[in-house]
Amino acid sequence: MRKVTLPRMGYSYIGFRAVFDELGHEFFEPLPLTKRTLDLGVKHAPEFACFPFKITLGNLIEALETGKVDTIITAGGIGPCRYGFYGVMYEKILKEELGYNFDFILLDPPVKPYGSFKRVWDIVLKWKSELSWRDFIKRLVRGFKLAWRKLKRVEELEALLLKKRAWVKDSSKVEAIFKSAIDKMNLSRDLDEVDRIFEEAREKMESIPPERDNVLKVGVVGEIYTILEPFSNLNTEKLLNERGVEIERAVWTTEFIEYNISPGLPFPLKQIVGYKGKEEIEKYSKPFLNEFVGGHGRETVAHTVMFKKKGFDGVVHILPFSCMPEVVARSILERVSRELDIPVLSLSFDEFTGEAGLITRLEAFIDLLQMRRRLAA
Amino acid sequence: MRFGIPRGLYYEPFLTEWKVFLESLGHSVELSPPTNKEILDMGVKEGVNEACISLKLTVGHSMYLKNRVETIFAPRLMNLDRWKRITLCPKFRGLPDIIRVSVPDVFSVNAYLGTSWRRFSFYWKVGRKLGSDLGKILRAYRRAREASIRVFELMKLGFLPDEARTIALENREVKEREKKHGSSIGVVGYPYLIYDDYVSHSLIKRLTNLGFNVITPEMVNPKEIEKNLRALFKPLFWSQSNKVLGAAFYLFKRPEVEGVIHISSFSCGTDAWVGRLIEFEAKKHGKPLMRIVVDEHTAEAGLVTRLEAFTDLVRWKKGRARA
Repeated sequence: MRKVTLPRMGYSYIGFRAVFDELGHEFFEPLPLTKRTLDLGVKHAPEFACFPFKITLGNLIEALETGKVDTIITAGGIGPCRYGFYGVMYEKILKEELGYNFDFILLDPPVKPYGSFKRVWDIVLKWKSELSWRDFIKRLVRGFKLAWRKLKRVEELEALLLKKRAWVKDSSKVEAIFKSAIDKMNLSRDLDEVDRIFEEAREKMESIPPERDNVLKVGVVGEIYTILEPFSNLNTEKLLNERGVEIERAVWTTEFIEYNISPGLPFPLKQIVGYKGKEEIEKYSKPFLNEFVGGHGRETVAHTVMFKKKGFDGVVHILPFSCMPEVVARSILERVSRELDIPVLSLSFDEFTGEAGLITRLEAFIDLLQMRRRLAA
Repeated sequence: MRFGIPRGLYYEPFLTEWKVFLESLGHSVELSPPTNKEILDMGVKEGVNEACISLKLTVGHSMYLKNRVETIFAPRLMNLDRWKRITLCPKFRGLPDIIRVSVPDVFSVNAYLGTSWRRFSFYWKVGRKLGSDLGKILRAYRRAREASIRVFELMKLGFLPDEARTIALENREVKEREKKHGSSIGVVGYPYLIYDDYVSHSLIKRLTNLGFNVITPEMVNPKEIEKNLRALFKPLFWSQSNKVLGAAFYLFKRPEVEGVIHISSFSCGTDAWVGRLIEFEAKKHGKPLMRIVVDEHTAEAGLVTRLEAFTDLVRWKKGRARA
């Protein structure tokens, strides 16, 4: 039995917990992110590393400090985004520089020259441990189904939260419903129970009467980690919601898995997840950006165009400072905004971003959107 | 057609190769001049403020060419390695589209240049798009390759890209450069940074004037680079980064190399990893390493001071080892 952990990213740990609980490993829930997490990360990470790398590195150091962890897993990748190399850097910094001792598992796709089938096979053997093959596969499939259902439900609920919070004056009630539902779902090990918790919470949230008569509609596009993890974007979405702005997110964990990871999964797991083609992304990103540039660069451009088509008031683009694909997207969004006449606010976050400056910019943006509405009417 | 090729992120031997190819097809080609203040200002004004200096410069060079030529020739560099999955930094992959934000007329074809077959099919596509026939394309391709291989060889001998291009285009004979008897210093970094005299404040020339032999990644045997990269768990995703990293690993092992300077640009994404991996390796070998981060505000005086301090350190270390 292993004591497993991974870095925190939004609510994705709920899915991983489901799989590892089924396989019989002990899952160490990633610690909440604090100022100290960030300080640790900034101290040990390279200066120009992505902001998410700094946060997750700090998160892993804090987990190792507790001494309750002996295995760390991370997903790898094949680029061109820097994310795929996080794992190698975690290992180098945590083992060589800080001297921690743990087993590191990097989930790399078996694509030459970055990974091989042998490495994948070694990982499978590690997970299997003492289980028989039959039992292992049965548990893996069951865990995967549960994880997928949970992630989907959590995200549906979160999407509702991002809409609902804009209509009420006091957001604490909606948030309390959301929070308790998430905690219940996290510990549940039954598919039907997850659905029940979800339905209950949804009805409760929808029954709250609206307190505003009119809200703005804004789409959020950008880099996945910075959007999903409120700590890294200083809770931008809540700040917008509280000022009467309804939000639709363009990127989700499950969507990322459907697009990018699903094609590489083996037989039963792939069918649980389902596959989404990228035709729509390609169609909408033309003629602004004609090639995949890694990460969510192309999606950012395509989603901005889609939000315009859906009649949104504006788009907020969230990115970590110096993110390579998003810097490309940001250069191009300038042209999209000019040619399609849609306001775009690019916010880049790093350890120096202050809340006061952020609020000023958001309020100025909201004023602009309201003015545009009034002029159009 | 009148083409313009911007410098900035595009570097040798591609500049020569593309220039010769297009000229052999009967088009005129203008290379943008070496970076100057005017170009930098245009790039900083038009480009995104978070981007690295070279990306801003590419925009600046394109703006410079905008009214002088009909079309900007900006292929989308996708791959320079025999592994198709090793690509280039996302900024290269989005480059034609980024240039299009400021300059609408851009001629672009996806360039996979890893193997000779992929390379030829790139030129075939370019030639067909410009309406040339097979024979003409083949002839132009052969000429372009000859020139570019010449430039590559000359750079391996230690000629700077601009010298190498002039020599190759004029087809001059050259003697091998005499090696100085002083120490060697490795200068690693992306070709578009270390050879841009305006950005790096002629660092290579300064080192030569101080009496050092300078070794850049272009002078290291590609086979050695590949061999040294095997120390990594997996290679990096970007061709130039692999080259820089492999060259740095190789230089640390060479006894005649007294120190290594790593030039990187502010907010360069790939160098966040490359820089740290080089640091790890330098510690193992105990060799002096200096990392210079350049951007549009880098002052010459500060850089020269650091450079002199570093060369003093290298000399002092060497003297102490002898004593």
